[in-house]
Amino acid sequence: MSLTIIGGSMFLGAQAWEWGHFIHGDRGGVNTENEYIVHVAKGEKLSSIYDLMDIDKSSHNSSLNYFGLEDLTNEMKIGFDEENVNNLIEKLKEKPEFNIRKSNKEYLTNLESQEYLRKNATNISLGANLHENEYGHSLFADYFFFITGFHGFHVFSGVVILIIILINVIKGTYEKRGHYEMVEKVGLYWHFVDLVWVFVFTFFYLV
Amino acid sequence: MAQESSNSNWWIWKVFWILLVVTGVEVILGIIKPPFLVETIFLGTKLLNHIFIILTLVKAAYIVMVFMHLGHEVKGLRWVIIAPMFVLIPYLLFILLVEGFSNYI
Repeated sequence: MSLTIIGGSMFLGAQAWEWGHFIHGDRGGVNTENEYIVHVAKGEKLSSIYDLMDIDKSSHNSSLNYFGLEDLTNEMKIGFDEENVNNLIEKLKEKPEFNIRKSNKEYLTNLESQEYLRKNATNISLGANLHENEYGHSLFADYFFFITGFHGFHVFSGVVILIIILINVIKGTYEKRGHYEMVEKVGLYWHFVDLVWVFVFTFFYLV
Repeated sequence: MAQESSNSNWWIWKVFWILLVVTGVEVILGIIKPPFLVETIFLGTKLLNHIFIILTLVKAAYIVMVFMHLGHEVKGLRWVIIAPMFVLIPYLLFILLVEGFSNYI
């Protein structure tokens, strides 16, 4: 049972890391009018918006500095999208080794990339949340955070309840009571949650 | 108490290893993505997705049988619970995958 508690906690830790990673983002993406995300590449290899724009991603507030904004979340919403996309196209002109990878994994040449962005690009997405998703369709991010969030909360409750049960077992509460029904009930809850995980894993991580 | 549990706990490790192996197969298939399985479209989605769905249903049924003690029930009751799951979940997935254009990208 201690193993289960440790395993459950590890699951939560891994999920927290994963969420942090996705929310922060990897390479940034460019949204297009047909609602697909395209990515910056260098030849036939994925690169990142940060590389193209010469931004040190790890430095504090680097993306804010690039956009010349104090508060990205508030100011981005009021119409800087076009400016940002234009900056990106200008940089592509300066650096011919960079190009664009479309969502069907087709790599464009540098000139085609400029043309494509001029025609289709709407705004830049950095990271993933309920409003935007640099990895792909924003609906997927919505579902992902919604489902894994609720599942993670159930796991968290499960771990807390398991800890309570463990304490009670050590104290001998169930021994005195004469039966171990509570352990059985909590076990059923825990296995309901892992039954859900079997499906979440398949449809969010595999398919 | 420790001695009692060491005798009666062996089955939990059997279940653990079975589930781990099935999940391992899924993950390995997901990483190498055999071209044959990805390119073959069957019933509106990739053959690979069918394998994932079948293995998932097998795992789910196994969890219900072992951890939720359905395995101790009579055969009829087992099937009453498992059969609808095997019909309705693929049906729901069929609708979602086909209507959701899952093959587009």
